[in-house]
Order: sequence, then structure tokens, then C-alpha cells
Amino acid sequence: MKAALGWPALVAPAMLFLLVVFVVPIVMVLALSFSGPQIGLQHYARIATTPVYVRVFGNTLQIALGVTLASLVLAYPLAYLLSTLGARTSIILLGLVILPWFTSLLVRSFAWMVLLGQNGVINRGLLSLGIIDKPLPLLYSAFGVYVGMVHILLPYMVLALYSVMRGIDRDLLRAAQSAGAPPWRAFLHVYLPLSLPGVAAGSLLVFVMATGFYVTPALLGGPRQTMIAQLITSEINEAVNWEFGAALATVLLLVTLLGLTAFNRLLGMDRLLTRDA
Amino acid sequence: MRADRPPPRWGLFTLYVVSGAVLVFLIVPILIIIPMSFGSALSLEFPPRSLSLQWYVKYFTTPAWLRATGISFQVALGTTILATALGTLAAFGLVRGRFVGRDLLLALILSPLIIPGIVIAVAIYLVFARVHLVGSPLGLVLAHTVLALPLVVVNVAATLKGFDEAVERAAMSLGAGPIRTFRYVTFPLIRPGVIAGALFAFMASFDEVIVAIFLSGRTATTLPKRMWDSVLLETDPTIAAISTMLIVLAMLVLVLPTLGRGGSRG
Amino acid sequence: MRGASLRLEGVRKAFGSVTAVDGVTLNVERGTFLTLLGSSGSGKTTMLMLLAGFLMPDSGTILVDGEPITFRPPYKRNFGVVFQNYALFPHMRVAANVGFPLRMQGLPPDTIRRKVETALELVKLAGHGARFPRQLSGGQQQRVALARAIVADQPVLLMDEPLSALDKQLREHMQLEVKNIQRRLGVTVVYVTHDQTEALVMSDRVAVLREGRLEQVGSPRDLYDHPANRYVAEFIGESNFLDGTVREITAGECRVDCAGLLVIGVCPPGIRVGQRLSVAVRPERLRLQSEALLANRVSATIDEAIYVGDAIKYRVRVMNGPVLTMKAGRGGAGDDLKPGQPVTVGWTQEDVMFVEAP
Repeated sequence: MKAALGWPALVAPAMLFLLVVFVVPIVMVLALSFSGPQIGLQHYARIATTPVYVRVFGNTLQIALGVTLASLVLAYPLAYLLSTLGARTSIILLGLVILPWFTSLLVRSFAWMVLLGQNGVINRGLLSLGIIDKPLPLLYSAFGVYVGMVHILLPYMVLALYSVMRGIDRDLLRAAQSAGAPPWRAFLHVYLPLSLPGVAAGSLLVFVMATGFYVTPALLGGPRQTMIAQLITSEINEAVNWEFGAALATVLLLVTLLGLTAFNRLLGMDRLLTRDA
Repeated sequence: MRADRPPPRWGLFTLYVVSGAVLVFLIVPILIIIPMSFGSALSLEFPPRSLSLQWYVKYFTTPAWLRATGISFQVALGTTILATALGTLAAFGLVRGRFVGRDLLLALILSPLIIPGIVIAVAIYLVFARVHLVGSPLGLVLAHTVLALPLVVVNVAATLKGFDEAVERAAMSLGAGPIRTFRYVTFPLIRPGVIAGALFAFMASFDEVIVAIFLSGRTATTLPKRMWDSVLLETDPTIAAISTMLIVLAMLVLVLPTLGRGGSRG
Repeated sequence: MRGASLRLEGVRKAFGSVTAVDGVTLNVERGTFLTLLGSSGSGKTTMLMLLAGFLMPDSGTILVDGEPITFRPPYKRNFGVVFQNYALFPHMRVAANVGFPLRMQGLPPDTIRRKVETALELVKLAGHGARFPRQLSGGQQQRVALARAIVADQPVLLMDEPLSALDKQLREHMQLEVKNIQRRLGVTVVYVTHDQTEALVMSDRVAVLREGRLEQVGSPRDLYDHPANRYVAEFIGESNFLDGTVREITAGECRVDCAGLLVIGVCPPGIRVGQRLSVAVRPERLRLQSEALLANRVSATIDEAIYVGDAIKYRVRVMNGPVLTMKAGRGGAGDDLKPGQPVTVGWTQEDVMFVEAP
């Protein structure tokens, strides 16, 4: 059929565009990371052996993991509630979840700067209530980064969980209960396993996005919370050490792809994790 | 004989409380900015002691802010047009076509959603720097289109997947050629997806920070880039006013499609 | 015997302004098969949900073997429930699905294995334990759901239109299988369906529900031959309805004037002369005059002949009267009537059912 030949042609413009503006630059970054000026792995060696860089990478992974976990814990009950509500209520609540998502990253990080600062809303409120007598260092700390990042990534987790939970048949929980399972056991043996694909997808998405965060840790974190993206930016913009920056970016890209594969395995393993009699 | 009374519903109550707390966590920080932007003091406070429009006035009377806003609108518009055009076509090819490498192409198009923004920004910057595309709106449009393309494709593809091709066949059997079928049958049905994608693309470009930090220059600075510079230096309350306007914009963009026919994002 | 007795007393359940179950009192004897029959909105599924414990009534009591369980949660009732879409756990194999109730009871693995095997044999699915639900056909999934509902010696089995997704032949086969299993185990079954044939085939007793109220409870035969009111007469089986007024009552015989057509029937108690009511006659009760001596006889013409395989349905136009439906079994005198053919059809007094006027 003529149509069968035509369909790939429709994708061609987008493909060509991405090739030129996206693929080629990424390939060039890879290439650049191996030069500067001699061809070699010297930049990677430097990354692996300098404690500062290793620490920043470790930091980044740790924060990303922590943020993923926190998002999961907070998102699960909300997503579950959303999946049990009727169409009208759930649309309104979903809107409340999506609104922050639509709001600029910068605006949200700024809002947290205002809230967490020494003179910020939270500290002033706690001081006036007499709960503390000195302002808490919430900003420029791990707490600030976690709160800011979770706030931004939470909607992704909620939506990923919700889309899977929506498809879980309510009758399955009733069947479990009529078979003698109290609510906590019905949840453990039936609901949780069936929600795992959503957990895996959401965690993967949030983790991978978290590793590449720049704005939030830059605004809300202290020097000990420096993440890779900040390192890359300083190398490229301030030190103008493009080759080294490219190497850092490549490592980040590798970490992203590794994270993707790791979670993919988890997704695949989920299918095998079925209960036998 | 065991007592036969309705049991107390602890579980449901806890669920509501926890979910409510999470929702409050999501919404309150954003909403708090709004009243703060109307404060009359010289620094941000909550609640504001008295109201004034000083920061809004400051925004509208500072040429730098207005210029940056103009650039952001230009770039966002350009991105929307380019991304929607490329993305709608691509969505058709990917959903309806069945060819070797289709899944790979789809993965490639969607990859900017997952690949860290910093990597994309750096890569594009390193190439654009050599072709003098840094500091130009065109460069920003091209870079933002890479980021916005997957959003358009996802939205249009979603509408296409639920599309029953029988309708198109019916139109053709009634005498409509391919172009008229597209215009009168196909496009109206996929329009909600295209509009949703376009809105996503617009907002993605308008709010985008990381690429803007790298690709902005003296002549072409976007609003987010200028906000970023300002936030790093001092907590200028004008940012609160701008933020409020951005929040309202986001609310409008979210609500408008729902009000019209076609419903919210799938 | 394994089965438990059930009793609903004045049970009422409303959802907002809609009363789904309106003060129902109903008994189910141990080991019997009761069907809740009604159209959608009749409240039959709500009643089942109340029995299962997924809903709680606004008022009334539910008793099992005399013990009130009105508010007892479903996981403490030990009732087997078979859902319309089977509700098998997709992430567990068949054996794990069936063994789930036993696992919840904390039985040792060997016992669980043994009981699961027995249950699977009973539903004729022995050897399928290692498969996943998605690998089974609809009918097989249904049987797994059934096995799960009886494996823990549950004294009561609740079934919510379990066969509605199956095609006709499979459904009829399963009706008999379910009935057999019920009899073998002696379990009490409450079965929900909107299919009156299914209800008649499977049940010891049928409860006809309409808008949350019980219209009639009785054996299938009771309901078919002696419907309590017009709704039941219309819902179960087909009937020819004629509206009229009682003209005369002599020696237990009622003469009803139906727009000129005189119908003679056996008088039920409480009928008075001059009372307006309807009489109903089942199509299969209409016979050709030549076959027997019939108290009710009319001259008519065949309007239409409809072949249904094991019978022929005729539209019979009574001279100066209504059009009746006659159902003639194959191989009899009514086998080959042609449209336009004049006939004399009739029915006995005993064939006449009395119901209220519309």
C-alpha cells in the first residue's frame, strides 16, 4: 500500500532536525571528552582519582536516591487515594498535582528559598510560636535540597503511580478480603505487587531526572550538596575547560543510562516475582 | 456472641490526612508567593503588612525585564510552531507506520525527557558556540524545540492511538480525498492532542532555565535567565511579582483546554 | 451438612436518594440454592454485597445460622465469592489463587496443596495449577474462581452473575456443573442473575426483586405456574395478557370478560364480581381444539409462523379479538400451520393465571 511507504517520510523532518541539533552535539561532547588536546582518557582518570569529583558524584547519587525514596513514600498514598475517587473529584485533585508541575522550576525553587530562609516564613512562624529560639538552617543545607527536589519531582511520581493504580481492578481487593485477608494483607499480597510496575517506572523517572538537577541544588543547597550539573556548569562557563566539562557530562550521561538499564531489569524482574502456591 | 456494630474507619481517615498533607506540601509554597508579591515592605514578608503594587510597577517599568519577557515570548512562540509541526508529523509516522527502527526512532525522540537537561544544554552550547548561534533567539528556538518535541509527540500520539481509522475510511468512501479527509475528519479529532502538545511546548520553552543559561547572550536573554541572575545576586522581590504572573499563566494554560471541548490531558 | 442458613431481616440500603434495597426479609435454608433474580437496578447485586460484607446496611440484620453478622467484615465471614469478572489475582498462578484463602487461614503448605488439588479436581481443572490466569480461557478462569470460593470449606457461596461473560453453550454447561458442585458439597448458594432461564434451571428457590423490593419468593415451578403479580408473570417466561372484568363466579369458576372475549378460569380466593384484573396464559398452553376438550375456545387465523428449532411460535389472530402467541412443540398437530389458515385454539381453566390489572 502506498501509505506504508509514506509513514516513515512523515517522521523524516523531525529525525533530520534531531540529528543535526541533538545527536551530533551529543556525539561531539563524547568526542571532546577524549581530547584536550591529546586523545586519551586523561579527563576520566582525573575524575576517578580526584576526591572532590568522586565525592560530588557520590553525593549526586545519594541525593537522587534519597529524593526518589522520599517521593515514593509521599506519592503512594496520594496516588492510591486518587485512584479510588470518582471521575469528578479525581480530576480536581489531579489538577492540584499537575499545577505545580506546570509552574516554572525557577519559581518553585525561589518559593522554597523564601520559605526556608533564616528570615523566611517557616522560621519566623516557628520563632513566633515559641517552638524554637534560634532560626533553623533550613536553606543551603541537605534539607533544603531534598525538600526542593521532592517538591518538583513528586508530580511525576504521583502520575506514574496513578496511571498504573487506575488499572488495578477493585474487585481483586474484594476477592482477597472475602478470601480471609484483612485490609493490610489484601494490600500486601495483592495491591502492592500489582502496583510495582508503577513504582518501578516512577522511581526510574524520578531518579534519572534527579541526577541531572541543576537549578534546585544551586539555589537551595550548600557547598556540601553540590551536584554534578553544578560542576559541569562551572567547568564550562567559569574555567572554560570544555574538554573536562564534556567528560563530566559524559559520565553523567553514562550514569543516566546505567540507571535506566538497572531499573529496566527491575521492571523485567517484576514479572518473574510471582507467587507460587 | 461477638458485637455486631459498624467498625471505626481508621485506615481511611489516615489516608485522607496523609494525602491532604502531601497536597498541601505541593500547593502551598506556590500559593504563598502570590500574597507576598503584593507586599509594601522592601523585602519579602508573609503575611504582608500592607499591600502595594510596587513590585509589579517595578517589573513593568524596567526595560531589562520587559525585553527579557519579549525574548521569552518570541522564543516560545517559535519553539511551539516548530515543535508542533515536526512533532505532529512525526507522531503520525510513528503511530501509523510499521517500519524497521520505529521503536528506536521513538526512543530517540523521547530521550530529551530523560537525559539530564545539563547534558543537552552543554552539548548544544558546545556546537552552537562554533557556529555563532549563542546569544541569538534562533539558537534558543532550535534548542528548545529539541526539548519540546517529545511533549508534542506524546500528546498527539495519545490522541492518535485512540483514533478509529474507520472514520477516515468512511470519509474516503464518501468521496473525500486525503487532504480533505485530513482537514475535515482527522484534524478535528486530533486537535485536542495537538493543542495540548502545543501548550506543553510553549510552557516548556517559556519556563526553560538550563539551556537558557548557556545559550543566552547580551542581546538575547530570556526571562528565566534574567530571573536566575537576579536570584543568585539578591532576593529581589520583583521576582515574586514575576513569579506570581507566571503562576497565573500556568493556571490559565492548565484550565483553558479543560474549559473548551476536548477535556484535559489524557 | 456443610451449608449454613442465612437470614435477612428488614434490610435497607440507600445510596443518596436511591434506595437500592428496601426493607427486605428473606430466608435461605442451609444447603439450598437461592437465586436473586431481577433486572438492573433491582437491588440484587447490592443484596449480595451486603451478604458478602462489602457494604453495610442502613438498617436491618443479617444472620448466619442465627448469629448476627451484619457488620462483620468480609474477611471474617468465610463466604466464598465469585465475581462477574472472576477477579483472579493476575500475578499469582492458578494454584496460588485457589490456595489463597487457606494461606490466609495459616494452614500448613502440605494441607494447602492437598486441598487445592481436591478443589481443582472438583471443577475439572486438575493439572492446571501452574498456569497463570491470563493463559486460561474465560470458562476455565471461571472455574478457578469457583474453586477458590469452595476450597476453604466455606459454608456459603455468593455468586454475582458469574456466567454472563460466557457464550450460550458454555453457559448452559456451566449452569449444570455449578448446580452439581453445590449439591455434592451441600453448600448454601446465593446466586445473582438477570437471566430467568438460568434462575429456573439452577435454583431450589427464586427471589424476584424489583426496585429493591421482593416481589415473590418460591420454587421455580411456583413462580412459573403461579406468579403472584403481573410483574413476576411478565418477568418469568412469556405470557399472553388479557385485561378484563370479572362477570360471574360459580362453584370456583371465574368468568372474565376481556373486551368481548370470555375467559374461564379456576378462581383464586378473594376475587369479587366486577373486579378489574388481567388473565394470563402461557403460549405453550394454547393448543389446537382438535387435541383436547378445552374450556376456553376461540376461532382464529394464523398470522405468522416463527420457527425456533424445538418449537414453532405462532401469532394467532382471534376473530374480532386480540393477537395471541401460541407455542407448539415439534411433532404434534401444530407442526405445520400456514399463515391465513383458520384454526380453533384453546386452553383449559387451569391454564389461566390471575394477576392484577396494569
